[in-house]
Amino acid sequence: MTHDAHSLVALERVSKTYSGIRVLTAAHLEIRAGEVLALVGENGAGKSTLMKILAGAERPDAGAAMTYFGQTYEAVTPQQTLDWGVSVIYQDLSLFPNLSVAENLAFSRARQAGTVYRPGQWRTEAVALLERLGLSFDPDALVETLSFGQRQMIAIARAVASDVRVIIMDEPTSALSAVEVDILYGIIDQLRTAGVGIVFISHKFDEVFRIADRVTVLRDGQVITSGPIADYTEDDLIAAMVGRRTEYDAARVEGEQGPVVLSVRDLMVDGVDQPLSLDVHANEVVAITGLVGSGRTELAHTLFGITPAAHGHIAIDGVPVTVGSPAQAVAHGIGYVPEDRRLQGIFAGHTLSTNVAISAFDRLLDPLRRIDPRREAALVAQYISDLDIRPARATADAGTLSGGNQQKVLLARWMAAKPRVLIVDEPTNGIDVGAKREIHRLLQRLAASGTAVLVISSELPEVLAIANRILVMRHGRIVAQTTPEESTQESILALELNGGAQ
Amino acid sequence: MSAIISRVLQRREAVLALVIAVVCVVVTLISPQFVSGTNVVNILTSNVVLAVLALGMAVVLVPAHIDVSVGAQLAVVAIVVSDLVIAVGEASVLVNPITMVILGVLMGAVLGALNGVLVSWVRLPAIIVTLGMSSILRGVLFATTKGTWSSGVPGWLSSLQVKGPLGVPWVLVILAVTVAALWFFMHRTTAGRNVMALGGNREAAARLGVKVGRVDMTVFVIMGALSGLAGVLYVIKMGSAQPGAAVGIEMSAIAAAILGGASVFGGRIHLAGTLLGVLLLGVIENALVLSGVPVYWQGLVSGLIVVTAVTAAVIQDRRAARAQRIAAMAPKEQ
Amino acid sequence: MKQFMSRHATEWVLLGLLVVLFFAVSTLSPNFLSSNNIFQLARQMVELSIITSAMACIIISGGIDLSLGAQVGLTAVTMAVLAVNGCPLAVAMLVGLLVALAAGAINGVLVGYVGVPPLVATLGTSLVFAGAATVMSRGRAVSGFPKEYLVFGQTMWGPVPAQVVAMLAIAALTWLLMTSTRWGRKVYLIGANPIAARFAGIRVPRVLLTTYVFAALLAFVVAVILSSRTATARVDLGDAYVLSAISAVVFGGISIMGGRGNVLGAFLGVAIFTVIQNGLGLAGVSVFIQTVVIGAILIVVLTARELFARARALRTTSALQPSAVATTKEESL
Repeated sequence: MTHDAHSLVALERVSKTYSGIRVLTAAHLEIRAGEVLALVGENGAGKSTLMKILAGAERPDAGAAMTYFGQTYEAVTPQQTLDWGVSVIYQDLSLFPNLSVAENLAFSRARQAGTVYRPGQWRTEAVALLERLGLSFDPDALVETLSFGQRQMIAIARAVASDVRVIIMDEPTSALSAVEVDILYGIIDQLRTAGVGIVFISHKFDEVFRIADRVTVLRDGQVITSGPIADYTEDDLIAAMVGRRTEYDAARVEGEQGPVVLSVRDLMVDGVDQPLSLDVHANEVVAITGLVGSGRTELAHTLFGITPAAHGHIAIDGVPVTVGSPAQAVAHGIGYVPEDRRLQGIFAGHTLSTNVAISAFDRLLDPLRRIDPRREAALVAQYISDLDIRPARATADAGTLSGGNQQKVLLARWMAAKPRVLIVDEPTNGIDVGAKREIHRLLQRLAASGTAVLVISSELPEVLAIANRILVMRHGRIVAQTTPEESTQESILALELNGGAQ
Repeated sequence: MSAIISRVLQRREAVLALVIAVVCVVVTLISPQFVSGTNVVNILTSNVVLAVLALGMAVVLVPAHIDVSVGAQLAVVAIVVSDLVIAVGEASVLVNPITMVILGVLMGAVLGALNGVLVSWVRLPAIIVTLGMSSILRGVLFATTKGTWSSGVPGWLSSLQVKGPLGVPWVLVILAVTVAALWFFMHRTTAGRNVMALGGNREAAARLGVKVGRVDMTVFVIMGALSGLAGVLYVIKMGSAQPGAAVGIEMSAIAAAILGGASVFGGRIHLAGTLLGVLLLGVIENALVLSGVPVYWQGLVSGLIVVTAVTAAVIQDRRAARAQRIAAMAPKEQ
Repeated sequence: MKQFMSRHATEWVLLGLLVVLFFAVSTLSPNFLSSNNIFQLARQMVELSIITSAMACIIISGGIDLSLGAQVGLTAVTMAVLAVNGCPLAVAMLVGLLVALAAGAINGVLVGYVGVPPLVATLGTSLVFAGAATVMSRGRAVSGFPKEYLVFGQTMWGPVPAQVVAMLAIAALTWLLMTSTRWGRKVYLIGANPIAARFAGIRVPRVLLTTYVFAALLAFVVAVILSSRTATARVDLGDAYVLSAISAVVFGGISIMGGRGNVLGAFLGVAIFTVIQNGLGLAGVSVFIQTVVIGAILIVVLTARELFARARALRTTSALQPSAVATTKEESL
């Protein structure tokens, strides 16, 4: 219902480049008063980046035109957008766990109100706000005692509390119960009537069709289509999200599936109520795909011992193993290339050599049990040339390498460990096309040499190119198994969105 | 009933009060003179210095900082004040208890600001800054005083340890006022709420417009001001001052604050708990003395209490953090 | 060769500084270069250097150990009390060693397994160790070591005091351990990125435990040297060294955050501090001013380093397009 087509915020020609990689290209977006805009797209399409730019937390490349309430700018700051009434609910919610619900709700307003802090006033206002929104929270409860879903509600309530004119929500219902979702829809209706412009990012089509007035579809950083929701069907949206894009050369392992290397039975991952089972064979690459939050990384962390499972059986080459810690996992021959290479993988400030050799230390000892620098150098040189890591200097600071080369360093590290099972989490995230192809071929080689390779990936063309088998996860469970021959990007996406539902 | 008991026991203050009560009972059985009026008042007044420092430390711990220069700050102020009052002799309009307290607080605040600049603006770690500052201040003190004591503080100042309105010694009144002021600051001012916010989620606070540097500075200035006050109280209590005063008191202050409920990770303030922590340490010390346990056991006993309390607190914190993390994981939908 | 020079830039700067200082002090105080004074210098360095080696390892691991001073006092007093009460020297020293290992283990368990932040943990254990030492010594200095004990503090091998050789050996050993063994590498990596270390399969708690026990062993050596030099043991024997060790470590280029830096640099830092102290002493400056100078140098050097680093960062980013917020993680978009 566009009863009031009054434009609040309009972004034009927004592009963004991160270390040489184009993440957004000439994206545009318009937020209108009293309207709900759904921003839709696959993982990696650029939705979060666009929202960050809108909020001023990121700066677009030169040439953008950002119009806020009539004034146009090339770039803005977070403080400015905050002052103008643009409220963003970040995924980490920006709440203070050690303060109460009421204090969190009132935080910004209290700061503006002056030096003296009157908890009574804020508590009363908080109670009124919660009532108005239909939420039943104890205003004195500390936020740290609330579940993630409850905190999401508080974050939304806080955004609504101030004189907000535009609200941006990123997957707002991902952690909410059905009751809370209804409450949220009610809040959104209230906001709509009050003339607030709302943007929400979502993967749930039922939600998109229920509450959105208009929809914008992003793919590979570009706006593919945008318009009133009534003009689209679900298939239209899926097609727009997936589209026809560059497909990767098939880098699939040839030949017969080998014997089972990794066998998982009835694994209970933390937070998931259903047990999970899967097998990975030698000479095959198994891809696990699913939306953000579908539980793929949680599964990887459980298999690698970071968050060990309370129940379940894991066997390597038929031998049952307990994986209670990453060190144990490594001892059993399981390797893991983590999702966040900067935080969880690379040791910045240390040489490329150290970063690669770390898993192989035990094999590089001289008779005095010291690390033999020549053997280390030989090992590292072999991997540098094999994987074409650049710069080809073993003494380079690994923290200064490009994303693609850092990923190769991590792969080299785990390849040097000669694991039985290698789990790779989003291996080509933020990497240019050429490097992606190289990594695909590396994974192919690894699998062909007998290692069980499990690849977690959100990039469907990649999945189709390298996987022998595809497992689709949703809500922490494996909801479908298929092969590239039987699938298209659309069919996989449909499984990610709806698979396993009644 | 048991639910109420367990809820009450969740509160650190209640546990501390309970432990203090138990210790008191045990000690009284061993040495009845424990509950004599003079003894009780003695315990309270002789721990005022530590109490003031511990309160300041509790504030510093909120944004996860630390200050190990408080003993040195105290000593600087103590020497300046004692030299001044001894030189002047008689109380006057310019030199009297009130002005000395103000002087002490201001001096301490300036010293605290030195720490604050280095932590908030240069962004050096608090432990390094305050360690270095401590040695600088002590060195300057020892060099200027050549290690000599200044003793013979006039009665009009030192009597505040025992005399006061309605029989309550002035030092206790000062402590009460300090606690009230701190409570007001932390719970009823925006600045104090900002300190709490910083302790809860530094990035979120910055995102919401809190001037992080200013908050860090404030915390160290407050600590400095309180060290200055403690310096004046020290002079009142000891009737003298010397450059080696209060060496090592930082540890006891940190211990009391943590006993009282401050988290080593920041974000919590328990003023009443801190006072109880000081009281517990004081009661135990007194108990040891009265029971005839030689003085040299006290360090070990307090040390063990501190380590146990901190370990228990950390285990509790980590369990809570882990539970939080699991609750906070975007849960798989129903 | 050029790489070697640039990688160890900090150490070369320190060495240069040391040489300059040598010249400066010797010009101001002709006594400085006398062989008597040089040996005095070396002897002054011994305890601080060994404690600094210990502190360096711990700081590289991302932690800090404020209890090293108390450990020195504790082990010295333990040995003294036993020896004075008729225990054979060898047994007394063995017990002292065991006490040291226990102390290190306590720290290691608290930090590595329980997860208490090192600052708070070692602050607490320093109270316990000092307290235990006070109980054993009744708060008094303990003397009366048998004559044989003095061999540790007072032997000379030719013109060189044995302790100096020990100091050099320990510095070299620590350097070797940290740079060539797997354990040393792991210590660096844990300090650099504890999360990545865990994800890489490193047994972080075990490595941390070993580190704190190693430090305790070094503290034990210092305890022996100190108490045998004066044939007395006191609780506060090691108190003065904690701050100086931290200063030397940081001054020597080791980051307080952990993960980078060189034990050699710390050694040079100790040398520089000792030269400064020695020089100031010869010039008649009081001991107190010396502590002021050390503290001031620490803060000034760190401040300068931080400001230079910021200036450098500004210059590089202003060349690129300025970004409001630098993201450290490419999130799923």
